[in-house]
Amino acid sequence: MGQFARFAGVRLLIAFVTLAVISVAVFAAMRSVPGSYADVMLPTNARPEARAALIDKYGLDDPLPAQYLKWAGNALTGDLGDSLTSGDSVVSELGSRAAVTVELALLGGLLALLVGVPLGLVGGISRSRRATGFVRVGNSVLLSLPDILVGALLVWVISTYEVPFTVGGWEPLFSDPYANLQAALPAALTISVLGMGFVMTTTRGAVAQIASEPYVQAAIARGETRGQIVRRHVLRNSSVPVLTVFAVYLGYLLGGAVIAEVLFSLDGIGRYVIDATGHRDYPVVQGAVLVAAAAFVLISMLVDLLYGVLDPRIGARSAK
Amino acid sequence: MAFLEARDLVVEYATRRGPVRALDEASLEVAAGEVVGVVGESGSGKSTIGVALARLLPGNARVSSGDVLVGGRSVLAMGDEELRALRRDTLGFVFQDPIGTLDPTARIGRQLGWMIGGKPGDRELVEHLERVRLPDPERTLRAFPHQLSGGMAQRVSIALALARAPQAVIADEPTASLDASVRSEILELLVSLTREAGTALMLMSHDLRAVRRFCTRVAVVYGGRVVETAPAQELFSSPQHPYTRALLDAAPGAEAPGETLRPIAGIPPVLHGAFRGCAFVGRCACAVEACSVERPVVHSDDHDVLCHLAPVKEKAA
Repeated sequence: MGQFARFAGVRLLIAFVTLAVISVAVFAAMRSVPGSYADVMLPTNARPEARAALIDKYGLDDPLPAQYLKWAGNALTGDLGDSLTSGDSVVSELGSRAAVTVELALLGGLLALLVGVPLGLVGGISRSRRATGFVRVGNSVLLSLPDILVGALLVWVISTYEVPFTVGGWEPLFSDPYANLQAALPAALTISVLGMGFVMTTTRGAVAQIASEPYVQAAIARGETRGQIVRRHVLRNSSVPVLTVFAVYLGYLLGGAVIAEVLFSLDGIGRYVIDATGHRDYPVVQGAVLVAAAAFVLISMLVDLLYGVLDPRIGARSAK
Repeated sequence: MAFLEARDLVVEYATRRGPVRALDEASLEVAAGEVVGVVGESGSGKSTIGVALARLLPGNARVSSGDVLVGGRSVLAMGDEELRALRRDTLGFVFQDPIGTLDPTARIGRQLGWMIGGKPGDRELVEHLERVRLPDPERTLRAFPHQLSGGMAQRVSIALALARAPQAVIADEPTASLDASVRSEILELLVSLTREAGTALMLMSHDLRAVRRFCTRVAVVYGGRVVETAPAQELFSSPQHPYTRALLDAAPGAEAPGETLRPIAGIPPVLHGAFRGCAFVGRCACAVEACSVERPVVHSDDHDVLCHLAPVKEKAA
């Protein structure tokens, strides 16, 4: 357990440093975009007094390090400030949108796994040329299909034919699960296409490599069935690279999926950040990026733990 | 009667530079319960004979002619399910790299349980490990392969190979990757367990001393053919084939003090088709004209020699 505590301690320290660096970067990036909140919010012919009042109210003229420290200090206590445009707390605004984004990301990730893993498996070990060829072509198609095309196509299908899906009309998952899925699934499918391609490519490569490992050859020599070999040896041993790609993809989705959110009129993190960037709504952008980064860091920590579970050799190495 | 038999077996690998012939009409028999050593340089084709016996040749290999029989049945003609049953129940394999041939993500007990089949209890698993004389079987059951030494892992492999009481075990260089200190122990274990069970053992090895000590019969492979087969004592005391003689002269262990080992000059040929004469002709000190133009045929009784110079013996009636 001592080893585990040390492992966890090191990982938490790395996570903290990562988030600190990201917070500085996003803060600096936002302030270096031409035009400040005052320029965006006030008409060009605004009186100088009005401008000065606005700048004073939000402390926009304070030295940047001071502004950063004030924001970062509050962030440490869980307060990401108020939105400059709506005046509402960033934490609560993010919360309702994060529910949409997290659900979309998880659904999209699930679809990517459900399609990518089985097809990648077939592509990696099938002896049928037709099957592997089909997977190969399908894989390239999935990787090169832009999500905007898939999304637009789905919107067209939903609006033209009688299908049990809707565009927009999001209901929270726990108040009406069916209506929620009606709205969420087409959007999740849109964002999952790229993930299907990634997962499929990685699975195919990993499986093909594991299939030539000596322990798989030995399992064949020991007379195991193909099903046994896949279940006992191939799936688990090829899961590490698939997990790596999946985690990166999931982290990417947690940052928001602008195109799907716009196409299906969903209030997720992606649209929220884009709108806030346009308004130079500094606290919103900073808060959203920080939260997305924290999600990413959390996922990679979980993944590191999972590596050790999936492959005991990795567990032994990282515990040292 | 032979239990394992390769009959005029020709195996070719498809490579970018055309087919490479690994076996060029190799013939070998292993009787039930017999311990046969298969010796020869790397690349001679001895491993290919071993894997061909269970039709485990890699995807780019093809049996061009000849046949492989186990228990009188042609392995080449078997359907998928029959072949799998053969691998699972009739044959056992012990490989060169014991740790690499165990699944790194599963505990030893689990892998042994897979091999035994059903749902064996810990007691039964421990018995299997005790049989291969693992010092702490309970702990080994819970260990992952990377936590074992090479010697321990090879004992586990032997337990796996013997778990379903096969009728023949094929061991390809089972000690080549192990520490010198445990090699003879492991071989002794393998030989004594198979002998106790009346299981035939085919032992591919570079280690002539071990082969002499443990095997009842020895087959010498060169250029994809079995060039000499004889009872072990006879082969080592009066080798007939010039290659066998060269191989024995090159091996450490039998030399008198002060005597130097004589390595075999030249390298074995890479065959792209049937060799026209005797594959050893280029390296043979006593080659005659026929050796380069005519394929030698076997001169046989209990001691088979594939050489133009071998005395033609009449088969005992």
